[in-house]
Amino acid sequence: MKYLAVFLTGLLVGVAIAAAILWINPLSGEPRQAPLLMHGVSADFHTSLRAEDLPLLTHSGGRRLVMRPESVPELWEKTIEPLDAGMLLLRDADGNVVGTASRIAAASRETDLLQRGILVDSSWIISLDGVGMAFAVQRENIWPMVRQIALPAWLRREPWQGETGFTPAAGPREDRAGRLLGISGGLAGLDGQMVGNYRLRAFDPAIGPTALEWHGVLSVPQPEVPEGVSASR
Amino acid sequence: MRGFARPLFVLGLLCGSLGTLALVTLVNWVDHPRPRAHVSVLPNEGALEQFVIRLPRDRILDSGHASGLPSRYPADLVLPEDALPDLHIEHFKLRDREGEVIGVAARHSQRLDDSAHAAWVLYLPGRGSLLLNHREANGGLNAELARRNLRAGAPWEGEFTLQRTAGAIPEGRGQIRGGSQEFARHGGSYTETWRLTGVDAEGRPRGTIEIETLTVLQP
Repeated sequence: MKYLAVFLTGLLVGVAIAAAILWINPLSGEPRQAPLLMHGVSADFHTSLRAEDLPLLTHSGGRRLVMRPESVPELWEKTIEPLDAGMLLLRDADGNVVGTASRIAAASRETDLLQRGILVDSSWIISLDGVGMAFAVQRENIWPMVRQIALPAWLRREPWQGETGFTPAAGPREDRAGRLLGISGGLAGLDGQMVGNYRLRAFDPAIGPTALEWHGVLSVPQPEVPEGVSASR
Repeated sequence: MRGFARPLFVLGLLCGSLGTLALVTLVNWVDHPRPRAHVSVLPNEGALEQFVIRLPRDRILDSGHASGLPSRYPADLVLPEDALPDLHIEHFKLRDREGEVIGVAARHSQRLDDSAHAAWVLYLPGRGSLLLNHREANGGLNAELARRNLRAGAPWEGEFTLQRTAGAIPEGRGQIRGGSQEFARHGGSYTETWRLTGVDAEGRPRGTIEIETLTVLQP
């Protein structure tokens, strides 16, 4: 009996050490530097979780994030349960709506807390008014946000308020930026980057982030712009 | 007794720490369902796959047209007045050719200068996303509905087929631009065909959308 107690104590200390290693593990944390933007043209947009910026968000219904509008169909079928889909309005620095984006996302099967973190893959269509359309494919590591904000809030069962920023870019480009592929207009044929910077101001353990802003930077090589078409805003 | 306690403690410690790290690393924490893909392989041409959307039941979002046809969906969707008049955004549930829901699709179409362009993301959990884009034929769906004198508030019964892809590659096919996971290195072409059998009084089209992709692995 005594030996069993000694073994179990060792086991628990071992689990605690492993948890501490995962907690401070730099491999799955946020890199110190954001991806470098390519030489060319960059444009910044912002949006948020507010209804006026994110008019539609749906998922299986089993997650903490709020769905809207009220009558939006749920993604209840077992085969699409992992997905969430949203429509975002993109605003310029003055707050004017200059475009829209559709984002479909799912947790990545390459999620690995020891080496890579909690990865979320997303695919986007971005339409900029009067400019053109582009695809974006993005991988982000949300483990730093979960570790720093969500886990403590869940454990304490208390909402968190403050201000903190994350740049969770994790690919698929080698420089960790998301990949931007131009479709039409001034963006046609261009191969660029997309990097999302998040600013979290409030987190509720019951419904997840409640005040979250997304500042996206789209960067493309210098385009050969046909006359009369603006390539950046 | 004391001689056994220390190695036993160390053994427990190693089991606890290494076991936890192994559990975290080796277990697939994210394992998406992956329905069987109905793909036909064409010798030297690529892989053919058909996706189907049934209207109106597979609609998730329709930003609607100013004319009210198609109508905005869901009805309580709030969008800024007069913002982005040249864009039309739709989200759908996506089915395989057997009718099983296997993914979610987003479609944007945008009028730019004298032409209309459309883009799709087909997201299939377990397989990744497929990116498609094309030039719209004949000004798109709304132009076709207007040509047939269909108006919002006036239900219509009938049947017509509209192939909406008119490029960007020859023979009126759209272009596959890769995607993520298993589609990351794929190119190819596709067609998008709408087979409508009616429009109800609320401006909701009824019928099917068929997307037929021919994917080719890029070098």
